[in-house]
Amino acid sequence: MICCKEAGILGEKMGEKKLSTMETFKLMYHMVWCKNCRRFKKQIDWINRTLKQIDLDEKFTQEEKGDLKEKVNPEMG
Amino acid sequence: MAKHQLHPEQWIDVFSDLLLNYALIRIKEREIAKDLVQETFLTAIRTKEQYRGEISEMNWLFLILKSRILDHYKKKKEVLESQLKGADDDEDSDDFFNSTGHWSKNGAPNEWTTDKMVRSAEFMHVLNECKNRLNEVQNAVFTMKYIDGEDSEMICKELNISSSNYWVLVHRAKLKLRECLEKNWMT
Repeated sequence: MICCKEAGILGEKMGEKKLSTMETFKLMYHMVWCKNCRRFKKQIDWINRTLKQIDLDEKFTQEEKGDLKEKVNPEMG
Repeated sequence: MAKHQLHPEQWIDVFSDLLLNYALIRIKEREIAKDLVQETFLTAIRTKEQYRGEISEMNWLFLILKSRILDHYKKKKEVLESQLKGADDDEDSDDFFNSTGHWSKNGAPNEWTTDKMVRSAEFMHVLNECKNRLNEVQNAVFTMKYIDGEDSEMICKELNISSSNYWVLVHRAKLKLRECLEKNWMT
């Protein structure tokens, strides 16, 4: 059976590429028996979905916006 | 279809915060993110003759910023290369796996309770903070892959990374990000 580290990297590749039949079998077999890798995959899938919605609601301060205008506006001609 | 038009005099008031948000999700330092937004406006003004009105001015500004961010990653090439040299000596993943490559006692993932798996504003900041703790190369690769949705081929080409290094890098970044969230949010 492949190790957890190898399973993690194969799982990563599987998200984007078609694995060989042997690689797919090795990964699936590992996942059936490894509770930690199943848990890791579940958590990572959730993190990936969350990352797509990340929003920080950061803003320029009024002072920063003033500085920005001072540097950019003269270029408008 | 009506073509879009540019209104440069409104850009800072209308788009600067949106662009700053976009940059801060992709760049660790606020000062650099601010500079990239400024460069975006200056580039847009200098190249406005090339704007054909086929996309909205907001999308056009975002495209310019995206290209500035990629240039920033490339300028950091020396840092990236020195970190890539260390990509083969499995130091990072030694913390998670034992000598046989299976999860170590302390590195194995713990169960996360569903009440903590919420996408609140507070959580988003913790998530971004954890992402910012990744090293430069992990952060660049991870951002391009999982936030911008670029494919591995494009990322390897732009950042001059080998395919084998790429998969190891992304996996390590995930190990570290997951661990950071577990320590700082889930417990």
